[in-house]
Amino acid sequence: MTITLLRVLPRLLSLNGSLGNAEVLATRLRWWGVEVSVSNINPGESPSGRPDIVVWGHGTSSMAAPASDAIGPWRETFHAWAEEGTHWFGAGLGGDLLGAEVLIARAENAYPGVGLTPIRTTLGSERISQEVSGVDDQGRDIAGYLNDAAVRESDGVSPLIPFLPVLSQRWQGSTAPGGEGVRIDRVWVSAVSGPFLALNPHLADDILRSVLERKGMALPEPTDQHRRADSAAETARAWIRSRLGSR
Amino acid sequence: MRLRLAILIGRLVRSLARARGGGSALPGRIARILEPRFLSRTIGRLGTVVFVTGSNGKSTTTGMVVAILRAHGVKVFTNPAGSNLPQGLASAVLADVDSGGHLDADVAIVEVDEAYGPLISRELTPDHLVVTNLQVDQLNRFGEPERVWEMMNTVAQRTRTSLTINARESALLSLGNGLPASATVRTIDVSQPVIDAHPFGLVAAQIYTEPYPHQPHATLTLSGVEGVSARVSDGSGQTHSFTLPGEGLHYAVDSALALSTAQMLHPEFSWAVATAALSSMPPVYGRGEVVEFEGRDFQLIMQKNLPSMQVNLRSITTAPHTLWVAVDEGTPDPSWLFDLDLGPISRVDVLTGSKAWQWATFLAYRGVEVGEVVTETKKAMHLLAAHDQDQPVTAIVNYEQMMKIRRIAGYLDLEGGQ
Repeated sequence: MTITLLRVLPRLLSLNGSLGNAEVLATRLRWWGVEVSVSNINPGESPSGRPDIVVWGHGTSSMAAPASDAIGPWRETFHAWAEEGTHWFGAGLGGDLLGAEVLIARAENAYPGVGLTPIRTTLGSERISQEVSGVDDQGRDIAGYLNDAAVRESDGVSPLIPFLPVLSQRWQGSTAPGGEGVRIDRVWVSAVSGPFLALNPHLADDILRSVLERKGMALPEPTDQHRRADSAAETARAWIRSRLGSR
Repeated sequence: MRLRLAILIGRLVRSLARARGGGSALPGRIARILEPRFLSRTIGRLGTVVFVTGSNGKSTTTGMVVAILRAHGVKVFTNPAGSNLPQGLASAVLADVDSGGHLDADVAIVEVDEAYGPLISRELTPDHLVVTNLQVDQLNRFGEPERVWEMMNTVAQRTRTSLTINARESALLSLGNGLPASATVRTIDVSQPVIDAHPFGLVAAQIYTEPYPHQPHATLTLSGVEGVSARVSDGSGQTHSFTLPGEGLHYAVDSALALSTAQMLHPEFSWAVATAALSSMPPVYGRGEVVEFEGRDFQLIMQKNLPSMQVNLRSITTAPHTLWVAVDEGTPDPSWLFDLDLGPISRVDVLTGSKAWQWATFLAYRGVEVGEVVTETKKAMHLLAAHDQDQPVTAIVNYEQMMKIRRIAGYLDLEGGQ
């Protein structure tokens, strides 16, 4: 069995280690002995062969226009993939482009996203740049670094991290005003920086569990390699919590 | 009167601060409070003011321009490396100025922090602006390079005479759109074979800006870089060779920008004098510096941001005997680690600092073995010094850890040397 992983626009959307999320997903699968194929899709290319996982990295605000232009021709295919069972992870701008549209506040330009989430993102609000710590919907610790200057609007979506104290004013219309990110069906989105899934491997395993279940396979027990990485990540999160004084 | 008072009090504070062994920014801060036009009434009196800014290489390029001009007999005012905020600049003035506000210099070559460029240029109008590069740098501070570009653009809009940049950076070229009509764009170029030979060499931030509609003729072309040797071709087709202060294309680009700027500033510019001055510059601080502690050498490799770290890592061509990584809150968000190519590194012996466990997580995904995590710097140094003293420790450190290591090892001055 081979799991196929597609990285979208890696030259435009790869800021600050965010494609590390693809590396984390692929590496965790390989540690279980699962074969993984990683490919990229760049502007002007045609999507082919439905992947199991599509990973979007983060980009700077001026990437919104070329990225939106590039994904325009792929929108229909991406929706078909989503219906057929593809899983999606988007970080930062990549996550925003999985939504309805991205607006640049100062320029008042709006760039259409893929529309796999109903989120409307406005870039250019006051920037939050700090370590963050919270909990997900199962009460599991989440930690990382948030470097974000966006306001995201949508009603009725489930945040990926229901409680991230620093964000109490930023998520307009959500059922959880202190929440961050999105979890809708097989779509995971977060604005938390860089290799978010490395620091929070339980979220990586949520995605992989769902992917493997569709292949008729249960998520295997962690190997020594998983345990080593996850133990380091757990301690790193504890240090972040300690710095924030949140526990 | 205000200026004289600011100089008097500023100098007094400077003497007191120096007697206590620190406080380099405080005298300048006080002088600027007492005379808000302190910079323009001192540096601004000089015939020519040059700002050097950019994501990386500001200190190096400033030092190069200064060295070349001084070698030509030009009297230069400058600020010490890294003292590139308004208060640091004002403190540098206090060190050199007379009681009436006169600096004994023909030209000011000042390093300017990219974020403070708009503030400094509001007080002190640059005649010439040199921008070394625009890289993805300090995202925790700036958010994105677009914001840094906007700051650079603000300074460009206030620059009277010229903007000097590397033509290979289209975002820097587009700063030309904001220049006043009196100012021109000057460029240096880098030949394609040189770029091709340095895969991590030019790591310009990819941002979308309005293209500059002109293609200025390059004043110089960097035509060869091998190790620490470089050569440039001038406008007449002559080639000039010199030695770089360290290995890497970025030093060669800094050198070309410095040569081009010095050539513009000095009518009797001599290539022989200029290349000799460049070649005699000391190695750049923090990149390969060796600190001795309890009988063992620690070779320090700076971790600043992805572009500079990647270039510095290139100096590691075989797996080090002992590798130490020490990173703390001076690197608030080390997410970019996941973009690093670790080359031959397959083991890290000791991880130190408050970001040690984030490094450990990253290294686990790269299959790199980790010996121990010793979060306290001094404890880690004792541990490392106790073994294999005939072999150096290769230490990947951020700036704050480097300062700490130097202090622990008894190196009392801040900026290099013993």
